[in-house]
Amino acid sequence: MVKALDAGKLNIVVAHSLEAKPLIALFNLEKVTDHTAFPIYKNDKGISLVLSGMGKAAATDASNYLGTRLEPELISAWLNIGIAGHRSAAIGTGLLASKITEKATGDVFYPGMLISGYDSSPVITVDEIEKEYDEDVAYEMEASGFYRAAQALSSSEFVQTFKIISDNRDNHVDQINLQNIPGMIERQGSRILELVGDLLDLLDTHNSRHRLPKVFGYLESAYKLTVTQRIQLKRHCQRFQAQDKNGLLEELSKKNYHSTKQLLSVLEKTLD
Amino acid sequence: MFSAIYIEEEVAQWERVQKILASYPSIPHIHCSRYGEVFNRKGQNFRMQKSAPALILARKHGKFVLPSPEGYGFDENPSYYFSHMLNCIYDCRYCFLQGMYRSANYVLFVNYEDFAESLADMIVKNPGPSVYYSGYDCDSLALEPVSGFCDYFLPFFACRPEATIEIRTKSTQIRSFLDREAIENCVIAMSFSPELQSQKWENRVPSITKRIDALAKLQKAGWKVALRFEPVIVEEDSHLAYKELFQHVFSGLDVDMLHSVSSGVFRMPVDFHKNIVKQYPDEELFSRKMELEDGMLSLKPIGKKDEFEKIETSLKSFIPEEKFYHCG
Ligand code: SF4
Repeated sequence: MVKALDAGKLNIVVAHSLEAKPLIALFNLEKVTDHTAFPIYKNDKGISLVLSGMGKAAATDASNYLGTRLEPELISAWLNIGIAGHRSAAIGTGLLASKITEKATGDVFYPGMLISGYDSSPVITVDEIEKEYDEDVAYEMEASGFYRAAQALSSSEFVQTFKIISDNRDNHVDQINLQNIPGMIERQGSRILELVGDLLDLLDTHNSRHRLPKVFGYLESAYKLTVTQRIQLKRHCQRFQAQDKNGLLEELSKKNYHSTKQLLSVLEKTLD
Repeated sequence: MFSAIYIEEEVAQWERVQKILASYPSIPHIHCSRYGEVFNRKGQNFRMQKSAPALILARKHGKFVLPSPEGYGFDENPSYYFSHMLNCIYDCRYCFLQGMYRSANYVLFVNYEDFAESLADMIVKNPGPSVYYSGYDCDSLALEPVSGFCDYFLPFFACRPEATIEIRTKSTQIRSFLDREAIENCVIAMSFSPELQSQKWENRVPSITKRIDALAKLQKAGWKVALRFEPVIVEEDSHLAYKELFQHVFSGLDVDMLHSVSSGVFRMPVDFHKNIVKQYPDEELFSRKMELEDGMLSLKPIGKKDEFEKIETSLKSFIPEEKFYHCG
């Protein structure tokens, strides 16, 4: 049973348990047992899923809730998966959001477009179920709320919304059989796995560039640091790494310094 | 070539825009109201975007032609710059654009007519000779097949001989020049760094040899070309690497026909540097010791103190003195 409440490398936000069910199976997720405001599921590969409930406000709150459990220093990826209506797209089609417009406020979000090879569509987040399909876009109820929160916790390149079309003009939303929803999502399973893989690749590329040498953690705990000194120490460690001098940094870290100031000064002087 | 194309609603139906969109039917076309919504928004990562930038087609409103920054340029005449594009298809590690913009996406301002009107006004306001630089916020030529920049602006300057246009570039896209008669008041200025530095830092830039070949073709066709040895990043015995570069460059060109030759050291506003370090914490170049002067950072020279002077002295030995100017 997974106990830790930490957010994952990839955090999936889903509105409804019918949408979550096939994803929980797909990623072998287990429910975190501790009491949480929103149900959270996790696996040991760094994937978390939070069940937000319906609507954009719930999606914001659930994302923020998971966001308080992020690992410091490194960035996480975020993915909102759910069903949507569309004027023309066929039932079961999976679409990546290329632009998200919140109908009530007019706020617009642009997910990063680094992931290629997926069909995409603009998405409009509505407060009431869309029955007219006025524009040739996907209509749903959470994406803007999710995006608003997740973008602030990450960077737009790592925040994506994937919608599976459940209704359209010819198959009206009033006729949806809710029991079909898990199947629709399940049928997009391989596409979702690919998307998650692509997002994690992007994320690893980013995080490997920003990973600090291990010594940083040791020095951070061994010396009393002000906020400014912590920033300086972090930058010095990055510079040692960039200059391929991790060995030297390690050697220097083993010496005794009578103050943090002295430590920082020695590190600075040793760098090219 | 692009991951997506964003199109401002206002220009969506313009012929220039429709033509570009028709060339890229299979990538997402995404509408936006103003380009800043996409380009200037918070929470984006320049470095990640650089791996697959999008194109943004937009209309520029005002400030079409601006006075050129101090120390930019080759003569005492009034000088200005204009940018029909923001960002560049190349990826030079030392490039200040990485610190200036939040986004690596390319913005192409498609209202060339407005640029032309402002340029025409400025030329009238400066009755004598004046200079107009293109390529400050971008590489003007690199995206020529998409932008058609030369096809529009070269005829414009051809009719205004008192105004000189300098196009600064590292691109070898010279077809637009070779397909027309050379004009006296156009200078194509190519930047160079020594071979090893170029390999290390000038990602996706055509090789030095290809750039020299392109310049040689332009010279042959009667176009004025200039050389910019910038930004000089001084390292141990850099003058030797530069000497080799000078020999390579000048042996391939007609030195007498050169318009001008300049050099200048690597300098960058503090804020830009700060932004770049955030994106490239692992980059060796930005881990080096820096010196601050008047809000500008430069790299603390590695090696002997007079290394840069040696480079300039070496450069001057290849060219007549009057063709040289120091930039910055
Ligand atoms: S060619 Fe110029 S504008 Fe383009 S990346 Fe290099 S330095 Fe920057």
